[in-house]
Amino acid sequence: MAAVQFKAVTKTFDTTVVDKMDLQAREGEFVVLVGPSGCGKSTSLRMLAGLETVTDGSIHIGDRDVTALHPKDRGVAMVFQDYALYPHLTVEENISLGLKVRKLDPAEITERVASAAKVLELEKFLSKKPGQLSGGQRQRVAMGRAIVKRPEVYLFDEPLSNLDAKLRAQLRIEITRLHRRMKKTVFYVTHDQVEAMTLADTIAVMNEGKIQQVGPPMELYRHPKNRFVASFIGTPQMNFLDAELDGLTLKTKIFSLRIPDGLATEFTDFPKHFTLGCRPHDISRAAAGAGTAAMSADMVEQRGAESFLHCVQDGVSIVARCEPEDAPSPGENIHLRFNLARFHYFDSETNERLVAR
Amino acid sequence: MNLDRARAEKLAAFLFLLPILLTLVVFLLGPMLYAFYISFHEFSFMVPKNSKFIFLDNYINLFSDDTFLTALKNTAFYSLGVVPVQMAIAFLLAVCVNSDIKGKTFFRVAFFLPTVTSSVAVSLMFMWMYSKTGIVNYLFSFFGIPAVDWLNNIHFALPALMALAVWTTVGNFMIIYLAGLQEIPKSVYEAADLDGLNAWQRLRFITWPLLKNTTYFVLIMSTIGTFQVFDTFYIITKGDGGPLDSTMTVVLYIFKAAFKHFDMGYASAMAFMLFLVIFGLSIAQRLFFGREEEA
Amino acid sequence: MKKTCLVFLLALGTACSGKDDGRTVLRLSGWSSMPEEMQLLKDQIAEFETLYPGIRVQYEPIVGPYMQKIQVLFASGTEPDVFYMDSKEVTRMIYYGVLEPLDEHLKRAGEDVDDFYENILAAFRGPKGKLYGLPKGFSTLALIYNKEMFASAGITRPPEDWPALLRAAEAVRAQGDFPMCLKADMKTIALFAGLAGGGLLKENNTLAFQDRASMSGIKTLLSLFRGENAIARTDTDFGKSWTADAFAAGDAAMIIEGMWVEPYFATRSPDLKYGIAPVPMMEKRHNIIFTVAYVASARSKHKREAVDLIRFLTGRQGQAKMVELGLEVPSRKSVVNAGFLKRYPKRAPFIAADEYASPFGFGVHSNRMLEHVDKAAEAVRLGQLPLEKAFARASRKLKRFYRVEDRP
Repeated sequence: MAAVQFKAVTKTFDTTVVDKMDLQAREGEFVVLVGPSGCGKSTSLRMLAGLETVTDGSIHIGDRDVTALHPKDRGVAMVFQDYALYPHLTVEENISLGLKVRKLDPAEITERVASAAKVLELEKFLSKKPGQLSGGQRQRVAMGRAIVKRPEVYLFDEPLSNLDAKLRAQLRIEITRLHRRMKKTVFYVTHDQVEAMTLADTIAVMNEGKIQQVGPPMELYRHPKNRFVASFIGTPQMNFLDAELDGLTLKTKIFSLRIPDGLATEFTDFPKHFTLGCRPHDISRAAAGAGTAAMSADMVEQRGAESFLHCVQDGVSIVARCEPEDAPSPGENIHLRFNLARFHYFDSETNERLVAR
Repeated sequence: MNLDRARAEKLAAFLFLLPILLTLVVFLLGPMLYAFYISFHEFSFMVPKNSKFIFLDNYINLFSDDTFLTALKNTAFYSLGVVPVQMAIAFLLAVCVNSDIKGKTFFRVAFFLPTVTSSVAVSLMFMWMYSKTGIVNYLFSFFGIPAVDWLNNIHFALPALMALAVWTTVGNFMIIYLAGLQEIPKSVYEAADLDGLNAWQRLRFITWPLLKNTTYFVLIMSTIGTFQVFDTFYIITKGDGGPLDSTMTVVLYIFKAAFKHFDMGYASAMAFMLFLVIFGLSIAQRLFFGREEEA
Repeated sequence: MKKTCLVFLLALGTACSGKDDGRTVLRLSGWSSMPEEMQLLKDQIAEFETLYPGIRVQYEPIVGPYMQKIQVLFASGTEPDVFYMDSKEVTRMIYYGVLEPLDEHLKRAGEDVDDFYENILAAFRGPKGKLYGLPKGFSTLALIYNKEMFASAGITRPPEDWPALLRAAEAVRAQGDFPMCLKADMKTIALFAGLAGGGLLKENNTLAFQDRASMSGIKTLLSLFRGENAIARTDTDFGKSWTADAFAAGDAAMIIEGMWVEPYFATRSPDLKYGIAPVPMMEKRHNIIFTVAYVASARSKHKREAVDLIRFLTGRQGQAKMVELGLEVPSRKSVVNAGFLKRYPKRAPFIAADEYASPFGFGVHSNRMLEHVDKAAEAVRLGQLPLEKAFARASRKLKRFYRVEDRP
């Protein structure tokens, strides 16, 4: 039984924003909806929260069809990108207002607020107003407001986008820890694939209103179902090259590789021309030789632990990983070796993955 | 070097301000001081050289002048009646036209229209509506209420003008409230939705407290506006404040003293009393709202 | 900057110095009751300018509250040389000393002052009988009655005295019409106080409205509105803004008004059949004169020219044309005698009343008198105060402005 289920959910404003979306989350699963802006991920979340109506299809939480329910009756709590705190209320009042209007026992309210404040380290700020807090503290208050409601499903709408990088990293960890402690289903929307990779049990990549692929982070990384997912997950982005098969030789503009006999069967149904994808981490510097590509180093991106080479040759740009001490100087002629075992193949027309593994 | 530069900047700023400062001094501060000066005199503009220093006589006479006291009482009554009603209606209208009802643009325009209509036109229209054979009496006749000559009845003239004032100014304050409402982020209401606040609770716990500054502004402006009321009263009562001073307001009486009785000194004294009253009220309101802020 | 200043000063200079291409510039102000009046005045100015080639008249009509504007103009030292002045306001202006006494100028110019009705002139005389303005015309009050309503009530002659008026009122009422539309305002109060043998102001500048005769007249007036059988209602009682409006609408059979209703009737309801009769006498005959004069500023730099203009505008020809507007009757006997009554026989009552009428004007503080007397009458009419109390209060408020020693 899925904790949350989208069944062919469609949302139309002037255009279709979410198109026949099907998605399931297990009890306690951390689901991240990721995609570029305007892909429909926030709208999906807001439909789940009840802040947007559903044009077609249905949404279920547990065994209830919540499609037509008021937000307060869905058993969900939401954390907003801009925190959406009540500016005139203190932190304590912010956290407890939702419980007060539900007429909970005051002692119970105090208890819940205290425990949430403890978990989120907000005890010192309970009597302050949101205006007196930093961005990170405000977002913690927003999370506190969600926690005290003890919802079945937590919804996060890009909660970290307004924070700086350091705070973001810190809060990411806190959210993970929180999730582990609460063991509740989480729907989390972000456009940042790093956030998605680090937080998610399951990632759902969306583009243009459609779910592209759903799966655990590493599966999406290793076996992207189409070129869009391949390019969206992983950083730096995957390299794409036009390629063709000439017998058992894989030819691109910058290199040719012979396919080992053991792998030959995989290519039997390939069209003549297709797109080859290769992550920077699967390309390395090598001495000149068969199967290597001669390229000119254009720029080196230092990341500390590793470096990324931006190379060009015959109008083709490639990003490759290398050890920092191995980095060439710009303009230097180098050779790159591509790891054929890690190649991804996509149909040039449909952009779908060619080999199912 | 730095000091010179700072000084130069200050000078530049001052020079930029100079035109408006001069205008304020010549056309606002100057006349105010002059009015203060002549409020201690028996003074007529016709023969300024014959003015006579009488110190506080004008001010003392004010308190035995029952027309002035009536005017003060009327103005206070008017203000007490108009301000809360007008604020409440303006607030509710703003909430209504800020929601997603159909034709809200039409309503916004409709409610705001009286504000941009000339007060002369509005006054004439209401004189016609309030007349003994006017539409108000016509409507009341359906309920068996006998016709009343609203504007010539000492009991009804002032309330009738209060209704007029609410009608004409409510649109203005509605717009101010509307601006305030649109400042409130949508997500706060969404959070409230998720918190389970119903419509009344949203109004009570979110909209109203978040509009506190707007309310303060509206309260001050509305109070000042009502204490300075003049034009509609002047037109409808033909400058008389009748019947029997029942619609005499302070400004109307100031005008009468200054331009009908040519008693500029007395009029100035009244103007200063009015200033003190409005100033005092504004301070009181500020204190009241200020204390709330601390809490 | 300098240039602008210079231009500004020059402009100011020409405006003040009153010289314009060698001609003397005279500034003339007045209000305008109707567009025709303004046009006629402009024509007369043109005529005056051809007659006096050395003078250019700059006509600056004042729209809106007239005395307020005049006050401001005086305060800023930019008052016109010649302007309208109502009899109600003139005493105050004389008291302030801002008007030019005209006697010497008129004598020098050989003006025949005796051609004006003396009672009308008296409205513009100051202390020691000095004359400050020449009236452009005048009107008194008359009983204006609806001929058809009178005829159907069987009234053949308009009432000449008070009992006759009351009888006529009853007869009208018996026919289902309402007798009178009156306003219990200052002019009517002054009229009734006078009809009863009293007045509002004594010769010595003290209040007279509490005298026995005056009170009885005022009481008579206010009792008209009282009770089940009231024979008078105010204009607002009829939902109208003017007695003439109610009369023209057929709401009432009689009103007491001046000449000025005639042009109104002519446009409002040209088919209205109405008669004009003298105000019925009570203890005596009495009437009120409403008149406006041309006056000159005491500060004018061109007094001789100003007097020339005043004489021209109030002259026989000028006045003959002006009274054609129907707002007033001539203040010059010669104009009346030159066939005016033959052309407008109905207007005779307005002129005849001059003999026993007194001007509408009550010393320096006319406006205060008007305010408090109006208010007292209103309080009585609305049943707020008994008559004596209301007028005692008015008297208390007015006393300090009406003392013998302040007599203008």
